[in-house]
Amino acid sequence: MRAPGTTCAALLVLAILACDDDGGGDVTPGTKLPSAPLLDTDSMAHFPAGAFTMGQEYAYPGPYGDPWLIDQVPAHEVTLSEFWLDAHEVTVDEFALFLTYAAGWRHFHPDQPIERVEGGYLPVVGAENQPIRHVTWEAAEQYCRWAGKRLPTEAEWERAAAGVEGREYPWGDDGPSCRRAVYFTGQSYCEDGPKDVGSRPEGATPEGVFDLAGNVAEWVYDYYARYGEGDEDDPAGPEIGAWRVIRGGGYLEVATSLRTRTRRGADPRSRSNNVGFRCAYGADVGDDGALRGELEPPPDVGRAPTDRPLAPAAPRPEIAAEGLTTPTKIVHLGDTFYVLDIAEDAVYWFGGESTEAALLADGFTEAFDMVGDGTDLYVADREAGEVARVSTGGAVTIVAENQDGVHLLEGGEGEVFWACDEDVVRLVGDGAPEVIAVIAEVTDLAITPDHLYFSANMGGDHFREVGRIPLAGGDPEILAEDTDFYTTYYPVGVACDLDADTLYYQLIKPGWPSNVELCRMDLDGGGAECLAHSPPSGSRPEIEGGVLYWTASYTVVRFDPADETYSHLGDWTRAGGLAVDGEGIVFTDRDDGRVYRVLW
Amino acid sequence: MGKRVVGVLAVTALLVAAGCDEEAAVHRCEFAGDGVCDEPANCRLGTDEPDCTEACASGGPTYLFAAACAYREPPVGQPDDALPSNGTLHLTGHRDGTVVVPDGEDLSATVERHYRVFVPPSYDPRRATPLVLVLPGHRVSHYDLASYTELPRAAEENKFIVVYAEQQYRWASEHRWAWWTDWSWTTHPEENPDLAYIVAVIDRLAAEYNIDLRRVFLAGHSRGAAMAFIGAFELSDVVAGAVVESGFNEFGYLATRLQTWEGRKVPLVFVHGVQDPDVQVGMGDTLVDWIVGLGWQGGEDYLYYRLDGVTHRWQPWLNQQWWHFLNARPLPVEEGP
Repeated sequence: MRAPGTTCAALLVLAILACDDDGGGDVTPGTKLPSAPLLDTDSMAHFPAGAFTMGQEYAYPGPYGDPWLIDQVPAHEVTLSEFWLDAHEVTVDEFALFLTYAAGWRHFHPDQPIERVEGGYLPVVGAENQPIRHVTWEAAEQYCRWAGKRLPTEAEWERAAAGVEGREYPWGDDGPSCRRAVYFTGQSYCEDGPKDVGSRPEGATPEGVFDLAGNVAEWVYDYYARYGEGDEDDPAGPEIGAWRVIRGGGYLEVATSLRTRTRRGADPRSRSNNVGFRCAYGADVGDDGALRGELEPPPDVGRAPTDRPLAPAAPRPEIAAEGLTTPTKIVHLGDTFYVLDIAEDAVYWFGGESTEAALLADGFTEAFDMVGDGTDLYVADREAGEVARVSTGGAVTIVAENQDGVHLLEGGEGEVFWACDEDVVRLVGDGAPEVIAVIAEVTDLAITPDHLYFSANMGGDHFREVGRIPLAGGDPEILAEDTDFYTTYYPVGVACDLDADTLYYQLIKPGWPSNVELCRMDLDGGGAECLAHSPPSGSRPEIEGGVLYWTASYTVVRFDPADETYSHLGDWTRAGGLAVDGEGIVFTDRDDGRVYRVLW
Repeated sequence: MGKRVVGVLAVTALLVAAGCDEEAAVHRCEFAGDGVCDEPANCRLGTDEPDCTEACASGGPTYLFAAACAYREPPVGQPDDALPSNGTLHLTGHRDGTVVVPDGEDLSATVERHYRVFVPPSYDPRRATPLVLVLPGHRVSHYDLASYTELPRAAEENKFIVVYAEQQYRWASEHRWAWWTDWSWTTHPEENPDLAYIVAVIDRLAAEYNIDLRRVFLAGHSRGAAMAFIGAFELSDVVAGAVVESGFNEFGYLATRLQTWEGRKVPLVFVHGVQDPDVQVGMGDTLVDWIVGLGWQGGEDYLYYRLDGVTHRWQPWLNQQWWHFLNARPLPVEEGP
């Protein structure tokens, strides 16, 4: 980190630099001024000398197993001398100073969030504390030497990330989340790009090193090669090679790349928005004769925009709310949206201009599903076997107890339905819950004025069927049931479009690889057919204007029965819930903790 | 842990910098000739000529005078092949797309097939950018490919666009995604709907982005690898090369279409795990043996990573290796008459 304060010497440097290449010609009398920063190990983590196990023992990875083992074997003992490692990735601010005082355009690239000013280089406003990226290995190596340090060796990097105890990830053995790292979950990007260094304190190592997993991957010193046999002291990789090692994974990379032992090679000349670096220090770093002192950035005068028209990112859905952990179901009541966060076992709300989700009610044991009845919210607490009514003011009232296996809710106007292990229950207003059908393993419910439609997997007298329960009383009516086809697929979602006399239902193929088919049934006796397919579904289909929407792994699907076309809304997402109205669609993302809105 | 200070602390200088009056400019440096390159901290760039020229030539601690060295070595221009094409979309990130192509279950009908595009953050619309179409394995959704192949980072580092391609969803047989590798290669190979789909996606992307049409590659896994292999030959005028991971072939394609081959030696990279339980390594060996029989030279026309300890799995750590090989082997430039 740059030391605070301003010195006359620094001001003098700036005055000199402010004279552009074609002007000036200034003469600097007297004492030379610093051109490199002071070494400050306060911003580094210290690692005492010692041994640790580097790499991984080979284990049969299973038929489809992880590829990360192969260039990480064998496990071998490495003994390291004492060293220090930067607690943070080198920032844009720091690198701009390097460009100003030493490297100039040699290591400047217009993709870096840095702009030229008359006296050197300054960060793009807002990017100051982001990690520098679009740097070559040479730039990283020269920066570290300029800073009085050096690039860490691969062994030092792994020792810092894995610890002597051999952690899977810098923070421990539990897998990553968007709270611990900026990365690609496989279904959703935690962030659109690298964030300020240290933005994920939950992902720090015990020694206080941040972002070793995610944000940007990091150049290290070594040439890339498979590990040799035998133990080593202070290894620094092969003496010759073509590629250098990159460690740590960046915002574009998945969980396997965030593991502490994951390694790969890259062309040292390459630049990437996904790759930065940090520096190390040890007794082997001698005095290089550089004139060191406190350095100040140049004045923000004559700032020139980058000379390359950077392609902007494709528009992404608007963020309606953020700061949640695992948001799933979403309910729209009045002008307010309510979101169930199953990680926090709580209900949050948002609305208006603010994107900050506020707590409405918490304390549930295992909040599993949520619906509205037009006035209040209802939450199924599966672990407690309860259904709770939550007013929009936050008051929580238990309206049903001993509801074993309650897992699914459906709301109508002034009434609510739910499914337990073997029962379908109805609650009207302040009345008592009433069992209206005995059906096991109900997978979805959909209310209409006269019927409650359901899909179910199996159990009792019913087996993989779609049917409806008359609200006026009477036995369930089976509309489609066990066939040979259903032995492979079972129904998981129902939605009714009474204007079109059509019942839609989703069939899912269990196991891997799984997928969902959307089928429809003519309620006027016209038979059934399957129309569309998608990755596995994350929510029941919703209908707006005759068009169906549902969340699938990786995307949100829109299907228009009129011309039987479907398209995908939004970007990568692990959508957990969906609300549709005349203005657009709102969906939650379970991985990045946000709620997104797509307007029509 | 105390603060460690290495080097010489700056001495506060009670000096006032000279002005920048260009008329009065004196192009010299007080420290010129002292054996130390003082640009740019103490002397304006270009004013410590003797010291910096010698320092740059000596290969000393260039981090201290890199700007001085760069000042004396102007940057080179863009390579000749970075020419613009017709692409009009100047956007990075992800997009979903759909093309309408012949239905393999009923060739008289058409079907919508989807794809997802990843345009790397450093995409420069002024430069022709290579394209890699990734083909998933049997029954696998194209959405699975981004995390499975870990290609986003490779695309960003190497500046290529990735397309995750969707197999046709077959309603008539097992309700599954599957490439049409099980095609009647003897009777109407040119009607294979996957070839039409691949070409349609390339054409669409080439209309939208500045695609380097000499560097369009296929990369497939398992059944997708089988299709990538087929596409490399059947579309050898469009596809520069292919990656075949855990690949195989079937339904007589080799014997029917590749008994002889008069075309270009399409660059190919094979990756196969010795412990692959689904597509045994012998099937990968067969593909390699076949092209060797047709004249392919190892290391020049193809690479074969036959990996011990690996099963039926894409190998992300090899992405850089195959890219390095294929990128150096674009489609040849058509020669005039």
